[in-house]
Amino acid sequence: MTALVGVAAWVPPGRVAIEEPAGRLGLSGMQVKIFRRYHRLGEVARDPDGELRDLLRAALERLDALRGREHLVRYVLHARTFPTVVPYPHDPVRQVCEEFGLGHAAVFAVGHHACASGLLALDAAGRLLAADGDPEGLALVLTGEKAFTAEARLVPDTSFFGEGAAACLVAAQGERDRLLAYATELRGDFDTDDPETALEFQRVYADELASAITAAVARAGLAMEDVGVILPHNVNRVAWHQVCRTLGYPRERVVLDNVATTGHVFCADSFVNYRTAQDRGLLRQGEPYVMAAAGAGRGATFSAMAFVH
Amino acid sequence: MMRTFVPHGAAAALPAGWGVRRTARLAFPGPSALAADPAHTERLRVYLADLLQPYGLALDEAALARGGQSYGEMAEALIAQAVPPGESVDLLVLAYSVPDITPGRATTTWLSHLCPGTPMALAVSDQGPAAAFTALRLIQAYAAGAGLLRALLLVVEQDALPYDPGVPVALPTGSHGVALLLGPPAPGERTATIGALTTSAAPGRPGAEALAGAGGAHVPVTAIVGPALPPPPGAHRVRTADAGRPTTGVWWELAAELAAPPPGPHRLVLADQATDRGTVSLAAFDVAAAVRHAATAGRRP
Repeated sequence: MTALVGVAAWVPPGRVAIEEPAGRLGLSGMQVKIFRRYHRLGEVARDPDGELRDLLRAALERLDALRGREHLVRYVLHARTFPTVVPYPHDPVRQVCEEFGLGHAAVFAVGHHACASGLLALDAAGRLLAADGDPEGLALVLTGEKAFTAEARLVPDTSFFGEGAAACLVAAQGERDRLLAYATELRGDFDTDDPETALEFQRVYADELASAITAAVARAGLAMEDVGVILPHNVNRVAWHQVCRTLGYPRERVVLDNVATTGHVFCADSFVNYRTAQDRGLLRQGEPYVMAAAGAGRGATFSAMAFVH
Repeated sequence: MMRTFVPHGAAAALPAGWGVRRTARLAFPGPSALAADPAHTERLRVYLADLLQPYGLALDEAALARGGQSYGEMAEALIAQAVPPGESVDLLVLAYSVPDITPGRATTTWLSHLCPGTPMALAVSDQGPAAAFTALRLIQAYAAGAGLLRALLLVVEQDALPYDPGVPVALPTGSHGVALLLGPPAPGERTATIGALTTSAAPGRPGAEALAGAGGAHVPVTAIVGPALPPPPGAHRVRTADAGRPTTGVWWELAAELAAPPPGPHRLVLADQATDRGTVSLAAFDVAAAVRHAATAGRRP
């Protein structure tokens, strides 16, 4: 059964107020006010002098579980919100892998679930390892991107992207942070420029994300009251309060600490929030928890995973 | 359609005969319909200019104006050819190397909406020609471990790259796509079951060794090799993929082989090498002898 061997995250110390990307994107003062007062967003993380490989390198440097196990890593999956993040055929992910003694591993990108691609990559990594039948084999899931263009700075009407990265070491089996179930819904019908469809997306957002969480929890044989904590994607507080209302789940058990200070760190949110939950002692041995994410922007994906710590 | 999965400790056995049931291959000589949309082209211009700027690279406006392909459109045509009417798919995996003209789009999410069965869908990229082999490995893993038995592998490439990347790059000479429909065989259907499936790093060239060893099989072996690999010793027949199809080449030839297979049992061994990283990928397909139906057999000399 797929298990997380170690999780590391890196959010650079640089911050810019949301007015900065909002100004570059031409948002009105009223729109910024809504983001600040209604969505409770404040600032986003930035690494102005760093590239993608600097973000990934910083996350890998913090992945203590990798030390001495590099030779066991069979796969490195870079899970992406945006399918293309560097000019082709530049490959900073592979360069970083070589720096960390992972040049022997199969290194590739996996995604097209937008910001829910990180959860997809965890599931895919576990399945590749299980299919190999090598009990010692490991996979590394990397997440994190640069906010390099307008599309990668703003989730319309929802959030601003922040820069950061995470590295998650995955095994086909293990006792620590075992994956119990994964649920995902792909909504390609939202892949349109039609404004009415965009409104419909906003209307169903909370219900669809709640459905994914409910489905993962049920498939794991659990009830929502069994879930100790939810590690969300950092879009905004209001969206999660709506999800909590739908689920009947206490909002204080959703780790929203980073929403106002990092922004939406692409596919890395769940792992950044895992570290926060770990630091706050919110992950308790034997207690289930949930990672959840929605990917939006030309299509939508709603995903959730149930784990036991 | 909400799909739920539980992980498995070990992969379960696949149904007998699970493998490639049907193939399609298509060339796309003209630009996509999307390339004619000026609003889209403007979005693409901004995206690419911002992508290139940190690398000190510049957009080639003339090349941008010539357009390019959308993998969504290419896949739509491939799905129409590969998935028979009335059938559906549980899993769709898109493999590619060169980005298309929708570099920020979650294309497979759109394809899930388009493809019969509303399949789970994902993409594998940034691995050169090995991406398609990894995609096939994922299909095998999801079939065995998650019960997604009816799968579609789409391997695509397009030739438009509107910038000089400043490093060596092997671009295709055209836009091509190959589809492999996989699943348990329908009654009387002949499938190509999957044997060895590996991607190995360069030292020792284990992939190349395995390819040479394939000649020791007890059935005739046809090797389908990428242009960077020498003809392997031991194969009864060799097809070398066109260098102008760096990602789809061996799959293009596989589709041709499976479209008109010889009647006897045989093995097809695909091998391709990523020239920039030296890895060799290998996939073996076994095709059983054609079953001669009594009525048909009786009419043959």
